Amino acid sequence: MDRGGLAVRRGDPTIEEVAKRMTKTVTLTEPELAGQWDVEPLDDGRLLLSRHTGPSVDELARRAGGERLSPEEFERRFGHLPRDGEG
Amino acid sequence: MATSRGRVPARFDDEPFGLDTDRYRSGSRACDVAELARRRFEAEGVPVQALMACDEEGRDGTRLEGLLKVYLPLIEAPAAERPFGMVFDPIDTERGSVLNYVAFGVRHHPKGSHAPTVYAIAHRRLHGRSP
Repeated sequence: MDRGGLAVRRGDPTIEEVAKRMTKTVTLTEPELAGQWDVEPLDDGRLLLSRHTGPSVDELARRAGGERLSPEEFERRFGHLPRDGEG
Repeated sequence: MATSRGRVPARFDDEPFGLDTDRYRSGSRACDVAELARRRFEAEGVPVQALMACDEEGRDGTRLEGLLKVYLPLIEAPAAERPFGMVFDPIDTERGSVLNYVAFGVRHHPKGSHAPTVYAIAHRRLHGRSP
């Protein structure tokens, strides 16, 4: 019976993956806004317009011909790294 | 790729680096700092001593798990005198470990500013949306 819930199955896209698909890039030509912008739908229904941020981290790794290293593996190779809590 | 002791080779992609420096006026301190850091890191690598791990959940709501950063300019000075940051993604290539450029920008904006920080830019490149 359909109870109106959201069924999540193994292999379904994650929320992050859905969010990436929802973000669109548009080109504006107004003099002070000329250029590419990312349009992101927010949870409250508004649209957020941000300067286009370009390729993703995964795409940059692919362009470099590499695979992302886990923090644990990086620290195993280069030692412990401090954190500052600001970002 | 040869890794000199205490340094990790860095790789820069022109597209994100150009987008990040285009946020600032040509000839501004921010552009000078970014371009000097790029030249230095491409030539010599990034000193491990200057690297910090980004936070899985930062005070500003960004989640940069697995990414690394340096404060810029790369000088011996209090953090407040190094207002910029550069974020890297550590990757494994057939030539060894490489720090792949992710973002450059200011670490903090004055109150009331809506321009993204380096952390917000990196978050968008990592997660595909704003923090």
